[in-house]
Amino acid sequence: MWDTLIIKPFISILLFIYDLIGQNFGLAIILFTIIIKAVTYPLTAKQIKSSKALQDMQSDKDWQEMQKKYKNDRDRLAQEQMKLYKDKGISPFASCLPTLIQFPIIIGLYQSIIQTMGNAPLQMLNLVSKISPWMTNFFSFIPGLQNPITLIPLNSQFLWMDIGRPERVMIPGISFGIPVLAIFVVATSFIQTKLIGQPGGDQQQGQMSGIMNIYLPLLMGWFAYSFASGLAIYFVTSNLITIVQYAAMGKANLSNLLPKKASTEKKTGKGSK
Amino acid sequence: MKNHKKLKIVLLGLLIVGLISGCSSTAGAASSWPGVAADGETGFFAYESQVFAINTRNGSLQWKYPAEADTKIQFFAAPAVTEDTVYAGTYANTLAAINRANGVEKWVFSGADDRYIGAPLALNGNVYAPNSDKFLYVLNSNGALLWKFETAGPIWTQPVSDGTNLYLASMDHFVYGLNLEYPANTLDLDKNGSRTLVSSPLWKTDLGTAIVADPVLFKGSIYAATIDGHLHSVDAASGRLNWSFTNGEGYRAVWGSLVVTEEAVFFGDEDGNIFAVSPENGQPVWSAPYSAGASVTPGGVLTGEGPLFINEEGRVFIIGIDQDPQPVVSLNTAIFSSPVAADGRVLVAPATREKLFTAIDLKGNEIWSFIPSN
Repeated sequence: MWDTLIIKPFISILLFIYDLIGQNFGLAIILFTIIIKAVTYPLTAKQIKSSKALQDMQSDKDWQEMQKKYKNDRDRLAQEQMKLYKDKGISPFASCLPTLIQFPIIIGLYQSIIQTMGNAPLQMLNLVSKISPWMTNFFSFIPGLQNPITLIPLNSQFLWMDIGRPERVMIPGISFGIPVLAIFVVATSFIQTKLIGQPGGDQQQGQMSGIMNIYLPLLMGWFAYSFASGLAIYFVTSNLITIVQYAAMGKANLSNLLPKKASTEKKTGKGSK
Repeated sequence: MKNHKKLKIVLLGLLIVGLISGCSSTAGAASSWPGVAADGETGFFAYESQVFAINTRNGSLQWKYPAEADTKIQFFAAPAVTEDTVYAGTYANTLAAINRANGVEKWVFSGADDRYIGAPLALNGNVYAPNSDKFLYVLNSNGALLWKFETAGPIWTQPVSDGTNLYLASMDHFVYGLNLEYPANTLDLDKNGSRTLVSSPLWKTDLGTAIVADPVLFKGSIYAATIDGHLHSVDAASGRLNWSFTNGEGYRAVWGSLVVTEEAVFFGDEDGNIFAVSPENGQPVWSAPYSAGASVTPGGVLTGEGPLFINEEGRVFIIGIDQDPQPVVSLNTAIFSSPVAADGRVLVAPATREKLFTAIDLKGNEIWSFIPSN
């Protein structure tokens, strides 16, 4: 079911793009990621708006008073919160639904890229069984399109890297390879989590987001370091698009990139006035 | 409360790790299936970090190479065997020559840039080793590179020879005819400045899609099946395409070994169909293919009682030209490796925890099974 609805169509689209742009798999991954991100943008936008509304609610005077008033009665607090959401026309689940809808698409995108990069027998066996000519048949009016099965094995060379393998750049005089792309993944993941993180919230929330801001980029970097570099290309592209999407909506919080000390001082200064 | 939050973060982290690891086919799992070869009373199995030499009569271990497993080096290509040497390619881009009698390493060739997936061919004191870096490497018995030939795609199949020429099928869609030997003064310079490169093949023939199943040479014709499910016959002398047979609409890849006899070329596809095609003209022998019930990835092997095939669910059967299958045994486990006939037995590699390798007779009786003792 999952394969039929998500993976096979995604692999067909990926191979179609690969063929269309002159059999460059790296570019195909980048374009495919851009297309999927563009298609899911309305959902992303809705999610961003809903999250912002929920965030703004926390600085609402009524909300803060309610927290104090019912701090020892959690059931009543929940009831009052729901009532306030209703009064303000905010649905607390509005930010979850787009995420839930996007989730299988993003996972499908990720899996189809992974499966298409297969360069060992078990992976290739799996890939070949999922290739279908429907995209080529549908766009048969485009000259020069090839039967997708003839595209196998894919050209895995992109810039300096073999997309089916972890990327390293060898520098003369250094005995080990530098994982340039993994460093890019860590950097873009870090910037992304910082930029889209919302200021405010309680101390515990701040700690949580602080931990995630550090560990998530490192985790992504470790995957980029260990697995095929095509995956790292996807991570970097996806991170950059997310940053652009947030920026386009005016939700990229540049102040989060500033050193914490400076922003704390700023806050303190404001508070003392 | 604080601890709960921390726990949530840890769980979220674990979820992300699990999700991404689970989605990544390269995450720890074997990326191929065991390679099997046999010679006389010894079977050779290449799987994960070791090559095992096993007595085919009783299943006793003769040696394993390396003696201590090194997880950085993986073996999946079926070894090539001569009287005194076993050649085993690795996923660490090396080809090892191993003393057949005791499993001691003779030499290691590390001139390739990618994995060895196809089995090498040992012939006339040389070894012809196909590699995923698109090159065929030809080494002498001391491990010195004699010459190499570059195709346009990874080479996952074992070369075949008639004793005069060498025939090579590549994932670049082509079958190539080559000499067995090239004098040094006929070779071109490679990127390192060594005169080792064969400039052009005797002939090459485009079969349209990638070839991952080992081709078979039989009476002057090369039989090669492709990943779109076509079977082709190519004249070994000229490279001319004799005929092509298609196994129906859609893509039904052929991965496993073909079985060629005077009567028919037998092959199975990923849809679980087995075909018998006339070697003369490529016409189907049967009015409809035989359905094996599951993908025939392992392919078949010729035994004393006819072509024996295995499907991916471990069902073993013999099927002849009369299309009347004789069940042998159901091993009830996933099998991808091609079976090998040896000394009246069939060697199979289920690669499960209970049975890494096993030998059965043609009545389906298990003679032995082998699991390494670490």
